[in-house]
Amino acid sequence: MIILSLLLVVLFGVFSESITVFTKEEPQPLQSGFGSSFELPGLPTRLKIYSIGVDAIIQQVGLNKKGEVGIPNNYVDVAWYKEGPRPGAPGSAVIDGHLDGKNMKEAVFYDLEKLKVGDLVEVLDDQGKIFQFRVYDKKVYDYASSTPEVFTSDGSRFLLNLITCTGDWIQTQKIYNKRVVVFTEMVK
Amino acid sequence: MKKITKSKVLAGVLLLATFGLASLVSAQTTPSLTCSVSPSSATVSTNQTVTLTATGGTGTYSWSGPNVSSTGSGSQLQVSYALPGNYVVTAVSGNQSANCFVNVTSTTPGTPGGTLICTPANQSANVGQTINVSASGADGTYSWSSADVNITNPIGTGFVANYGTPGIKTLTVRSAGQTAICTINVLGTVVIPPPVTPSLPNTGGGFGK
Repeated sequence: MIILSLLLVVLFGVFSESITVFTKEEPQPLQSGFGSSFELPGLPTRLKIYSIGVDAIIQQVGLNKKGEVGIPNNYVDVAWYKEGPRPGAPGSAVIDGHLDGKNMKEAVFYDLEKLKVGDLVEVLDDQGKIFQFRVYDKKVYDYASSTPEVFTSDGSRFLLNLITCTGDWIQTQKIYNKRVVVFTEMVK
Repeated sequence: MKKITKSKVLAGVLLLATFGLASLVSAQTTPSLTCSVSPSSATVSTNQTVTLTATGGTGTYSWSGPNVSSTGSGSQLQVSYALPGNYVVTAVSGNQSANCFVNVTSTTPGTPGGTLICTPANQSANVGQTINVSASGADGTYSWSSADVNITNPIGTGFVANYGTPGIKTLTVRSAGQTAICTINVLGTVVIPPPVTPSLPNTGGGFGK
């Protein structure tokens, strides 16, 4: 029995060593990276979301003095954040729109939160090209959250994120306390 | 019946001879009208002056066509065009006309028909950071190549890339026989600060609140 045990130990040791030898990784070449071409989109001009009845002119906005993404100057248009990529380009494009107004119950993105995974979103650019996106996620953030995932991505995906207000009205600040972001990705 | 005299026959012969000679002279002095372009149309670029020359006809010419404001009657006309395109200028002489065809191509870099450019020509990025470049000019269709990246789709106006190692990388774009290069200096040690994340927009008015 003792001899048998010793034999097993020796055999196991040899086997283990042999496994170790064979599983040693060969030096791998450094990753060279990736590259891919794409068609440059024009400036976005119109947003259409058939499932919630949106057909809106797209304005262009930057940041306001508070560092917030600008908003459209009326309740029927939407606004593209022009410091980010254009819809149809690699990265995360952002378009926002009003939920409501002081004297308007339903603004352009009143029903944005009703969008479901799989719903389609279309953007028309100034060259007449149509870019189609599909909803893949929806998240609600506190209005003061830092949300880098809304504005940046690794560049290998063609994303469009739609934002509007939600949650409860903070009377003292005259703002809603939440923001809903609908994440969409371009349909290839 | 009237009698035909010798003098009448002679007069007729003289009349016919004179008329025939006049016709012959007329035919020899109005050769076919032609119009030529110098330099040849294939080499004309925007705002380059070309000389149109009419030959033949009666020797006096009138010109008409885009950018033609000549009121003279000379055989040559100089004209230039600011925009690419095909232009037709007509020379008229007597009852003949001839067309000159001027094919103007652009030489402005980055415009259709112009020099191919890759933008930005130079940029820096960190390892793992995604960069974008774009092509313009030439014929509008672009093919990308590079020894530094694995390219999944080589055809398009823009190009996105991500590098795993530091060093000077190049992207080559080709169009209509032209070549342009973008250079990316991929930094291995310097960390480029991420862009400032904007705050979420305030898109509510508080209706009824």
